[in-house]
Amino acid sequence: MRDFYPSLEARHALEEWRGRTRLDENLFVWRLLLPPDQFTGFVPHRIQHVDRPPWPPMIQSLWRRPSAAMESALLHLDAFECPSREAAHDLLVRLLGDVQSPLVARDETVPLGDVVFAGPGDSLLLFARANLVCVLRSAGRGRLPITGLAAHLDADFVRKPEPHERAAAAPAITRLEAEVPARKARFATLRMEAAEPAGSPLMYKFYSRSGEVLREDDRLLYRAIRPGAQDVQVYAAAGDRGHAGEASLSFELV
Amino acid sequence: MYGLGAAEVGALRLRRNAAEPLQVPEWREGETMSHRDSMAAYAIAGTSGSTITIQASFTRAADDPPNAEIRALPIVAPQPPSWWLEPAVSASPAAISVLYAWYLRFLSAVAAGAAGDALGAVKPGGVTFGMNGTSGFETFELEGSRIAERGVGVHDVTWRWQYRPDAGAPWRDFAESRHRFYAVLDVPKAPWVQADASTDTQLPWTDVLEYACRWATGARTADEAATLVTIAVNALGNGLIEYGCPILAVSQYSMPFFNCTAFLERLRGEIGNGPYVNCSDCATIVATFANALGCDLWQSKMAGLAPFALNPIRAIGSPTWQIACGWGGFNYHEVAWKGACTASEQIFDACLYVDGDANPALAPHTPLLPANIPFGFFGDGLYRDRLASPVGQVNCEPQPSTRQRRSVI
Repeated sequence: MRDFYPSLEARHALEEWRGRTRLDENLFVWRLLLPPDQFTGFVPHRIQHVDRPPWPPMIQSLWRRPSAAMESALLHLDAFECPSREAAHDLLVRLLGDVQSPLVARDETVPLGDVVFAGPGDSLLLFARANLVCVLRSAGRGRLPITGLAAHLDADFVRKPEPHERAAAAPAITRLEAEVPARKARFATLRMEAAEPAGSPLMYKFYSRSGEVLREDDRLLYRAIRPGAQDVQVYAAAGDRGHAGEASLSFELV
Repeated sequence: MYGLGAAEVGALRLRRNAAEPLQVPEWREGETMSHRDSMAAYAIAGTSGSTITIQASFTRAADDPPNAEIRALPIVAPQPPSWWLEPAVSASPAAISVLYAWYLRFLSAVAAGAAGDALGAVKPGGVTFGMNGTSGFETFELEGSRIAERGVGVHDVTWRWQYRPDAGAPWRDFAESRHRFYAVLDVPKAPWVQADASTDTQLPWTDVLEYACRWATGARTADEAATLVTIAVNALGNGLIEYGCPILAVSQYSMPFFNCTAFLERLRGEIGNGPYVNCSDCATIVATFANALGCDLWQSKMAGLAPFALNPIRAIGSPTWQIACGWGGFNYHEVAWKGACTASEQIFDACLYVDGDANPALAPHTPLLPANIPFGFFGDGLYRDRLASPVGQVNCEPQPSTRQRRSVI
């Protein structure tokens, strides 16, 4: 008898795509928020933030069309915030173990996420983008095509604020530093402080071409691709997706 | 009523749901009006052979005595005479007079909030009032409790509280309290806990007991309770939930936690997480609700190196026998499972009917809801033979490493 999850990894060829990205630079999302207008034409019926280890922090959400009959147009999104891109891909395979249909498979033709799993009917998508994993499905009795909605969600994850948004922003990030080890190392600890308005948490997006940000417990780490000059850029966003500050950091790793 | 130390008397520590703790004391004069406002639960196993006790605190008026004896009697609706539905007897003028008198007593009792007598009466006990006119929490024994003989259930009780200054004085009414008691078989099992902290969201929820105790009313054993819960969950397929063919049967309520809040919303006829469920959802609902009653079930998967082919099944909410939405097979299947979740242990599957006759591959099909039957081995005619086709059985192996009890949120 072979254990279920290792067999799922083999079935879905995890080794072929584990850790891959389709972006030009590495992205890490921290403290994910979903704005109430995340899906155009839908209002949130319920948004639950759940942080219950050993599972990564996640948001369970259900969205409905205000104009439609109660059951007809429902959108169900589970979004997991993993410590790293590799951890996200491991989780994605585990979640495929909660899909009973054998028709769900990796789909390279769907242009979103770093990796996408889908089946016939355009009613269910599981995808990973950076360190996030999303399970999006049409949850009502009426069929709702979801690829377009998923593409908008994914674009929001990836998107940097426009110049006009950045000009108007308050400087929420007050400190961004790297704690660089004296000896040769690929890792540095990131220290960030931000002035979050009371009761209004912010989400953060880290971008880097020289390496990537990841999380270890509550600590943010930076992992370099190679020694030398390292650059990190971080943007803060408010719960309504509005730009709330930014900072950049350059340092050397030997 | 009990807060800390409840387990010593078979009482359970509870919450209302994920968001709301249960206030202690459960009954508060002027605040808790209906039976559902004052809820408690007892584990029958914890109360057998011992006397159920409750705790209560009282306040006296200035002209009341400093010490008193206090008791409470259940207000119970009187039963009609045994012959009341026999026309030959009940048509006589004398009988009509008796029935009329009963009816007046019945109306009077109902107006007074009459309920059941499952908890019996509160035995008289002495109470001493402090300088501020209030007593501490005094412990009272119940007498005539019938919750053990009635098994799992929901029992509403209205108590008429009486006092007297000394044993020679007549009893005088001073208050009525209304309570709902849930009788479960044993201390709830995981994910439910009996933690000291009322903030622990994994304390048993009364919102769950409200359904679980009704679904399993009268059950006296864990197997009986789990079977009744399985039947009740499957019966929700009569319009409330259905197997999620259109969304490829992805988990809607159990990925990765049991969104019991959403499921309870669905049970109340609201949106919940929508109508669709899959096997993991059904396994999680059955195990979680049954374990609230003291059963000891897990959620565990069966699978193999590849999807497994099926015999025709009838999925929850569907009138049609087919091979899983026409997919040919299952990626995996999950059920509520006993013990180590191996081929030898019993399963409870509210998600589907298998064919219970001699040839499960062919019509006509004899619906069998799998409840308390062993998973089984190839060729023994048990669950595996009925679910998976002969060619599919090699990939329909118990996966005990997936055994879990999802947390409730």
